[in-house]
Amino acid sequence: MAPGRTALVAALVVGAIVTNVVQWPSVEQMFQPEMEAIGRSNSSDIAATSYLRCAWCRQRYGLHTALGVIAPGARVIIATPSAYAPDRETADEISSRLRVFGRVDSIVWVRSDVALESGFDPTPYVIVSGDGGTKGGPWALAVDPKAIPPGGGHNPDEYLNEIVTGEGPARSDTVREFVLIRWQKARPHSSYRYQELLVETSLLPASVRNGLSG
Amino acid sequence: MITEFLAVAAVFIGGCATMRNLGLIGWGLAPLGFLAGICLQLGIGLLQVAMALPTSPVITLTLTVGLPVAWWIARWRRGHQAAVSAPLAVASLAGLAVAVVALRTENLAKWHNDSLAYLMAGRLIAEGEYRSTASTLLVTTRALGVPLLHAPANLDNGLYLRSVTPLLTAATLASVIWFLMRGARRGIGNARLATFAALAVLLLLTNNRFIFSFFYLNGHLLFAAMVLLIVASGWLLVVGDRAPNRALMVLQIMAIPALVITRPEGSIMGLLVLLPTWLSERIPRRHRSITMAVLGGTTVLYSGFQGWVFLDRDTELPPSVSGLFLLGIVVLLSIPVLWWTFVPRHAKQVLWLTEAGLWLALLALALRSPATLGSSVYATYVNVFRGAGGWGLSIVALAAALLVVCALRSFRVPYQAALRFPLTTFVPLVFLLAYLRGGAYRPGDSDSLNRMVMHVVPLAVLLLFLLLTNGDLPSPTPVDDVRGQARLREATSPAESLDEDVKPTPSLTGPSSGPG
Repeated sequence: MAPGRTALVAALVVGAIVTNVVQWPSVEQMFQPEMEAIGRSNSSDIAATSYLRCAWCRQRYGLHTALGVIAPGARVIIATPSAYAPDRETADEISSRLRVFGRVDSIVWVRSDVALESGFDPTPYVIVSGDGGTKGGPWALAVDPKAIPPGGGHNPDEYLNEIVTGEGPARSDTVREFVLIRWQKARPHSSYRYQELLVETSLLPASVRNGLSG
Repeated sequence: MITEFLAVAAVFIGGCATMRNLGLIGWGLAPLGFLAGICLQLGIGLLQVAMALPTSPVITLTLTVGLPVAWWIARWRRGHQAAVSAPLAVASLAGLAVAVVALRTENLAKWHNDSLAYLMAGRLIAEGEYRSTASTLLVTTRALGVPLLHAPANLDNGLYLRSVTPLLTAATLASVIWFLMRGARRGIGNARLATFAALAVLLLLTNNRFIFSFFYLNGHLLFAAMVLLIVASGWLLVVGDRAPNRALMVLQIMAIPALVITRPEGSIMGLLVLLPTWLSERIPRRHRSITMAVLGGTTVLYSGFQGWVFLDRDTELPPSVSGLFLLGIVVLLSIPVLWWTFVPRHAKQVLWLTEAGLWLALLALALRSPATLGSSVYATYVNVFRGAGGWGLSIVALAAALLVVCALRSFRVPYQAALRFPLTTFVPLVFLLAYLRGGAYRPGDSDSLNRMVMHVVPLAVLLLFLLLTNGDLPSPTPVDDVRGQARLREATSPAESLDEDVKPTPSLTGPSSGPG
């Protein structure tokens, strides 16, 4: 065996290593921070980072993450038939998001055709909201004013920015109850004609509450 | 912090105890033990999920560390060789603790939308809600491997373990070097071997996407590690006399379930990476039967669980699930073929036929729907050659180096086909997968195939440097020559044709004491 050939191949390998090193800066430049090889982010909490940095992630998980921060361990009621259960796969996906990011303790599917009355406007109670997009509609979380946690921002779209987490406690002292319902009011400048609304049941008119009691 | 250290330590100790019980000693015990521990964790987790057992990570971790340590204690009390250097053990655990602290402090994790779906599945598993709540889409597209790996983080309300992916990648890198040192030609010289090992490390560590893999929350590097373990362990078993055979066999067996449950195509990849092992009569038939049974059994179990989810949700079973179930059954029913000596005697032809079959299947699908292949090939060209995938020219350079070394006929590794076959079949396989998944690959770093390339990068680097360290042959010494002739006679006997194109050079190996 000729050592020259080994030297040739070794030189090829060294050339590959040098090429890697030389190309490193240009390769690294082409990525968003979350896909760069090296680089620190402000937080190691992926749910928080993705909420702040990724519009798709906010569209998918924003509403559920907001619930997990504001009211971990909550009970969520979902009326069916509805847009949340056209099939089992969609219903399971919503349940998964509510449990994982919403830190929901229980989900109750109620057979009911209840809708938000035109006289009820949850807008004053919306403390967190998000824009819609290709991965989901606009969303809003309406909370009883008596139970608003401290630390949030004034603009609902930015309320969570300082306090968002996907790794907070799974329970809180009191089990709060919310309803997931499609609110037929378009968000300004949105192509969607509705918003996904999680509203605390104590805010709802009695007729809606009764309609959800099964 | 403490929860994470305990979780990672349980995996490390469980895996190291397993490997030590099987005779593995030396520095390789730490990286291979860690990978073995991950295999144990995933294997136990699969049983919990698929067999309707409680899925708490506490149970998974307790069994992962408890069973091997109990076995180690039993061996030690019976007077079997089980000694472990206490200072080294303490130092390893201290190093692990430092790594956990450092990696939890530095916010280095990298993620993609897929990462969140994996971590969602992990939390559902940890909280015992996976079987009842996971959607059919989640169950089939986000395989169990990554969720099981990170599920213990939820014991502390975390979504993922900060340290396990970097440690897994470091263990994979170290394992490449361990396999290289075990597989290098004897007598190459420590200095030369160290130089090649350093070059291998540098080639990987200067690769932008390999460094990215240290911190990326996904299953690509985990899959690559399992491919490496199965192929390299199988190759060392065929070569024989390089490492404790029992350790290699168990490592290979344990990596199979982890491979199957880490990616949707895990079972198909399992067939390709295990075929050279099944075709070698130098490996005991019992071991080959076990690997076949484990691949078939795991495939049946995992696809059976997925099928149960579909039936439970009153949803029609997709061909991807029923097809995998059928594949598992076929593998199980094929075990008796191992007793048909005609097959291993024509191992080389079987490998070529398999590879040709993959290309023909691709051709047939391409004739039916040329756009899928055309778009996929173009996307791959853009990603790999023009840099859109973030690889720079690293994959081109690696492939070119391999082609040059293979073209120079003086570079040969004994039983080379066992290492080459999983790499060359990877190409038609991934393009076939484009048809199975129902869509062409796309230009850009987030494309599936672009990230799947990592599945074979550690193995490709290992093969390149094994070629270099085996092919650089000095003149054989008389002793080598005598030993080598004995090996040559054995290796070229009619019963072994896996390496018909790669006759072991007289000085390649010492006296044979390999299996079979």
